Amino acid sequence: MAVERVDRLINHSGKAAAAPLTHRRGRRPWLPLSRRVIRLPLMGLVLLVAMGCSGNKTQTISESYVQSAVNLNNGLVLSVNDVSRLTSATSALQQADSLIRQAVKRRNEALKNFAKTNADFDASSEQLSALAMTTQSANAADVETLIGLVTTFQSALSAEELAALYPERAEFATQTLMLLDEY
Amino acid sequence: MLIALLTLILLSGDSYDLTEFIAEGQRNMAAAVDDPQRRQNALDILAELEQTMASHKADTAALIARTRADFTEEKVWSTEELDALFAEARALKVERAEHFIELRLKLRAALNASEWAQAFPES
Repeated sequence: MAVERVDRLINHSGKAAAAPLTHRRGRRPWLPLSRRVIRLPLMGLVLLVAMGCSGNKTQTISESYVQSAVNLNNGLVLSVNDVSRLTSATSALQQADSLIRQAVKRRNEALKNFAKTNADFDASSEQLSALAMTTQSANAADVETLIGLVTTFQSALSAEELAALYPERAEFATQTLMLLDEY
Repeated sequence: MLIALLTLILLSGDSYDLTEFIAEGQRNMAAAVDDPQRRQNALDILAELEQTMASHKADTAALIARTRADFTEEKVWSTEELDALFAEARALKVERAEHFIELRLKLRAALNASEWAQAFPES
């Protein structure tokens, strides 16, 4: 079942990646050679993202989120002409996806630990603080990375490309919000 | 991507879902604590905890909504803006954690072990 889901996602993303013929928002109808060359490795990202959805992980990583990441990735491939800038943006997206998945996992662990510690009558101030601060520390460590990712992603794209990719960017943001807020 | 990352900071490890804990305590406090004054004191702490958590959730939602409103097609965020935004998000989380710990310890001090076990049998 998981394999079928991955196949479906890959097929869908393959169709989406082949979508330049649809002339979305004035995008060019035919990929230049450089973009065709980089499309193959970038489809690897699609595979990685889709594989992350397989098996038990579907319980915490929704298919809608995965699809939004795939759509944003495909949107980048279709919208960004320059190979170097395209690689930079997709790499930032991949790292963001990885951080989001780690955050979901961390959140689940924190929920388990929190319920257990909070229910304990003898839980000390130090234990409660440690529980809260462990999460804070992890998040604080992520902040520098996150700011770097956002600026890398933005600087890799022109104003026109950012505007053209707004639907995909907004959908990715919405799906991440739902993914993290569903508990 | 920015809002996704902001929510990552605001909500990842957002482990202070006290809804069930508070509801359980409110449901069982009458049976757990005989003395009306001490019982009311414990219920007041639970109510304050509920109000504090709701207030922080509203602050978090407001920050996300404000950022979403700023998230336009043309918007490009500067490093300074990002620093300020994430600092605000982190401050909200720290404040929320401090309030939770303060009230959780206050509730613990208001009950003995036996009363606690009766008030929160499912936790």
